[in-house]
Amino acid sequence: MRIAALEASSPDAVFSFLDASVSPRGRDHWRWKYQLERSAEARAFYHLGSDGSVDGFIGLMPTRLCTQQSSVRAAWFVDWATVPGERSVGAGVGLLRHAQAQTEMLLTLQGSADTQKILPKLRWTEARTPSTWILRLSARAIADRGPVRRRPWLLAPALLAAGIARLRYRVGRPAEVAFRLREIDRFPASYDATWEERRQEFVPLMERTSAQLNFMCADYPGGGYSRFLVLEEERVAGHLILRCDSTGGLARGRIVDALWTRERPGMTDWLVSQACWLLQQRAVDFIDCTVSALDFERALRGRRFSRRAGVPIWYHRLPAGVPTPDQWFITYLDCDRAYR
Amino acid sequence: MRADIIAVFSQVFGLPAERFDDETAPATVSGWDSARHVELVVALEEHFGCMFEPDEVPELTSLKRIEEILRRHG
Repeated sequence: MRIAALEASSPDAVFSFLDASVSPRGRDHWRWKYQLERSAEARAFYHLGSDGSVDGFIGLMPTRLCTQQSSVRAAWFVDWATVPGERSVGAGVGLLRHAQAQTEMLLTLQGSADTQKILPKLRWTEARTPSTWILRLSARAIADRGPVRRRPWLLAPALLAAGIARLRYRVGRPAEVAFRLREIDRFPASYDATWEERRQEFVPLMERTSAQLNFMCADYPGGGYSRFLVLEEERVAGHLILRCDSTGGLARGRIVDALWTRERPGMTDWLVSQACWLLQQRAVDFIDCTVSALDFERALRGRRFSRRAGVPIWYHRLPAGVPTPDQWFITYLDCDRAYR
Repeated sequence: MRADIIAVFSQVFGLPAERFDDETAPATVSGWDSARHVELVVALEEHFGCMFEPDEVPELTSLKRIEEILRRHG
């Protein structure tokens, strides 16, 4: 029995395990997610049972948490899975402890039902901070709720009512202001100067360098992301990242991440309106967003978004001087939820 | 040491001490799943004041093996 690092040359059995036990995304996805061709540092580990078969896996998404005073090496653990049954008992905890040893601060966002059951037993702490917000734009999205799903005969009248209700949620074209967006394929290295400037307004927050943004939102093999620079006059002031995909037969738009000049009055509202306008132009049925920033939340509420359940952040230990996660700026960019 | 290990097993699994012997393993104890294994690991660490290495945790799957590993920890 042993724990091994995932590499490009790891046996096919590991990738088959991931497709079967985590998500059937295929080898290209795992190569991207764990940077198998690029990273010298191992980002994922698997456990081999006594019979030599793979019986557990854990992945890491390394990042840095920037605070006022320092920056701390951190990692989100993801794709934590074991084969069911007595054969793998202990593999999961062994892998988790192995992951803990790789970083100063190990975290996870949300977690499966099993994860949420196990982590408290290991003395992990839950902070319930970032909320998910939703804006339903189409009649289908407005009508597609629990009561209608349970009673199909309600669908026709619900769609009729939702067709009227949706007018209330329509997003108008944002007014012309001093800010604008420029769509880009990739974040240029010069964006790092903006990141250095902006991060002081958002700390504590995880790294948003051009390399990290490109890894997450330009190199992702599944696509679907749109990247924008936020310009104030001609100066780069921040960024906006959106994503479109489909779920449950509905077209979903996501406000994945943003940084902006918080001191500029009206910029937060303008940014949210722009994001909603762009996603509406792309004919999404609904827009969702995870964020933990009061000014952004206010802007979402102003755009008639509804608040949904909070997303828990789990942590094992915080290095000295690191504020608790309820004070961090978190969005869909953090961890791996943007494409889930 | 063995009596102490059995006491921890008895407390974690809620079964009388007589139920545990050298053959004790996940296959022979009802309810020894991943979640219960976590409780066992934490209870053993607290009782014996040690911290198992990541590689050791998956090996703590029999009373006999647990005793061997705990002896290694002194």
